[in-house]
Amino acid sequence: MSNEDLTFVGQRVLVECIFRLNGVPTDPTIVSVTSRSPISSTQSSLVYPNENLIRRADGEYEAAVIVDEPGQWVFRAEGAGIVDTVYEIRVDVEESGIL
Amino acid sequence: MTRLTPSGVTETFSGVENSAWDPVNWVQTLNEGSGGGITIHTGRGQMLTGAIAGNRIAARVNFAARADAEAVFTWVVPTIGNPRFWFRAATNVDGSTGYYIFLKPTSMDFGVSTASNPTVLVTYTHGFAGGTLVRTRVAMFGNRFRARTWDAAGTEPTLTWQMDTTNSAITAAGAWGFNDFGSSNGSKDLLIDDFDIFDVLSPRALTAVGSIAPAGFFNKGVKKHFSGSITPTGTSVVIRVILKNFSGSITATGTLFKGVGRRFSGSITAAGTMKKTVGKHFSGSITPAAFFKKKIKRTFSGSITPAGTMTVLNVGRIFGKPGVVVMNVLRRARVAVRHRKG
Repeated sequence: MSNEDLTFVGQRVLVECIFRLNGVPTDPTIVSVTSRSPISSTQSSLVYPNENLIRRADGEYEAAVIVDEPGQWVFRAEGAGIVDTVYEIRVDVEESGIL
Repeated sequence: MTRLTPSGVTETFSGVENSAWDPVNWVQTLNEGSGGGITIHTGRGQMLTGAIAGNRIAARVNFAARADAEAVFTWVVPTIGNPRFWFRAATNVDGSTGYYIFLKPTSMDFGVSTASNPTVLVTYTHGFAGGTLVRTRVAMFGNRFRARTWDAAGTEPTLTWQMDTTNSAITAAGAWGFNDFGSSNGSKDLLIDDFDIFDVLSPRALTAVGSIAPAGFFNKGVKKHFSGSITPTGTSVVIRVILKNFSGSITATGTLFKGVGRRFSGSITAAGTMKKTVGKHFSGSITPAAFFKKKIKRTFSGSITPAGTMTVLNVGRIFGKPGVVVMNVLRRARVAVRHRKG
């Protein structure tokens, strides 16, 4: 993996969430994205509408989270109501050699 | 069963010829005519009446008057005379009072005499010829009289009584003995022998008639006598146990430790303090200083109307249409850092 693919601590991570219903991008009634930090296990939840959770198009949402701890971050996207679905991804954040 | 014969043995009249009957066993109570008497003759007891008609001779057993007994005796069947065996009779056995059995060749008569008036009660016909040696058993117990006579050469018919009857005319104790008299001239001898008298009815030897069918079955245990020999196989080991008397002495080696039994006769003074633990029974009452807080279980039966606005924090997955979400981490901005040798 090249350095271009690594995520370093301090990076603002953009988490893209596309909700589909029967294959068609559809807006859920409620959209939330929750993050958990690897070291302090701090959970932060964003519920649309939020300045850090925006809608780009039908069913497409983007959450911005600053990863301030090295380690494996967990991001969980939840759709409820019209589109009822849940998914999680893990992102490894490299520690800084400077900070 | 007790023998009542005063001598303690059967009277066999074994004295010297013409001597008197054993005075231990007999008392002559009557002798009315010359020529009469009770003597030993040919090893039997003879009662002689004398030659005068009507002369009576009598003898009783020399014991106290008694009501009940069983007598057995042998007698020679007379051809003439009126010999009788009396019981519960007057002391002199004179025929005035008492029960009697008439000893006749043709029959036995059981009778009773009161005030010198004899009455035959029962007659048993047996038919013995004069001179036959016969034996008679007479039993009187309570009001029951029993008697039987059989040929002395034969076996006593122990299963049956030839006379078995009851009479209550005389119940009092009396004399037991013989008397005889003749109604015509001429001696009327009565010869008796082997006289015995007992206080209870003699036991009878019973012969079972018929058959006995046991309900179960007999397990026969056969007693076997071993008459052979035993040859042991193997080796006999002789073990001898020798009984020895020790007559020496024993010298103990080592030291004897004497265990002395000691009796403590002093006193014990306890050091320290004795702490008494008092068992106390609480018999009063308790009034609590504080108060009891009662927790009452309450059941809410009303309704709740929330005030304000409800903010949905999370939505449960009870309703809604299942869908799919794809997540991706975007990389819009990139920075690459390189170094060059200058």
